[in-house]
Amino acid sequence: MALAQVVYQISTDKDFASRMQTDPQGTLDAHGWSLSKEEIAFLLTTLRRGTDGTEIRRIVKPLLARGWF
Amino acid sequence: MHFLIPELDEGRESGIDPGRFASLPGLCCQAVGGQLGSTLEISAAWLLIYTAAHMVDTVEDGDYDPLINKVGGPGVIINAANGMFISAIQQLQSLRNRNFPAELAGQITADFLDTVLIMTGGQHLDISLSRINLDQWWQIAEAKSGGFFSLACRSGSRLGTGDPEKIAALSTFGYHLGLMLQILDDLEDYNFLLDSREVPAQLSLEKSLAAAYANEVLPEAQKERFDRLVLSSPSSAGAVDDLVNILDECGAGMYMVVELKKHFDLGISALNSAEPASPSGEMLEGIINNLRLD
Repeated sequence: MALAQVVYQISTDKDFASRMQTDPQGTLDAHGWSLSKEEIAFLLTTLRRGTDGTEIRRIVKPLLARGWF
Repeated sequence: MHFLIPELDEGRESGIDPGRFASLPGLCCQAVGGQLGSTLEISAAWLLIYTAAHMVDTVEDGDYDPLINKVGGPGVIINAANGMFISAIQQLQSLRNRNFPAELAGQITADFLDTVLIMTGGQHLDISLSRINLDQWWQIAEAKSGGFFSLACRSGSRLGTGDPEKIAALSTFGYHLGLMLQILDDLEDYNFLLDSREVPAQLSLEKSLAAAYANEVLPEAQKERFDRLVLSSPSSAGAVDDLVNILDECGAGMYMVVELKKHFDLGISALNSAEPASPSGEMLEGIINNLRLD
């Protein structure tokens, strides 16, 4: 569950989040975490877009708008 | 965790026909060069099991419509679901009347039965545990939605090609599609957030992906606070805000978005490796594309 740990660290540690954007592999290695290249790419995309868009209230809303019922 | 079947809620519009996913076997068959009509029995069997599993799930989770008590209670649901399971087997048996090789019909039937057994195991784990950790959440999701949607795509493609690589690729596509649906289905548990005027009297969030994630990553002190909020089924707006704040601060939403993106990309990659360009392939791409949040 390394992905969960990395997401938590990004969410709670600004320095870690910043280092992830400049040197993701080195930052992960320093913590002993291993993610696939795809997972790192997904995380970086999300970080670049800003994590505000992933708040629970924001991601619940689009489901209704698309009629997911 | 629910089996996935989109439902019409009173006063809300539906954008997805509950039977839509029954087109998966046919689309996968066509995508690899087969005929849509050859998958009718498989689609029927899959949809019957899909519906029956959902019905049983509502009884096991205790969240069926109370109106059902006026027409005999939950036993009526179980009985109807049993009929659907048997009807599904009949549909699979009728594959023998087609011009398929007998061995292929037997393999598809065995695949259905094996997959449903695995789903049942996942459901057992789901309903027998009061809380589930993150590993267990994925184990259950893979056994139920991942496995079942993988079956739809795998069995359909089997009737369209004998190429094991293409069959495996579409099976993988279905697996990731199912996991995306399960993540979104779990997110529905938080739909009450869309209506700030009313918080349901009973919330069952303790087995949601967000809760499993939070329990996995939160430090002990915060975990205890989160547990108290989740297990007490927050009834006030303040308690709900506390709960949501904890989830946001620990990145629960981000985790779900990243997992959705991961399974979307893996699903698309598998689809493209099976059949890069065909009208059916484009429709399959449209189905998974509609589940994106990013």
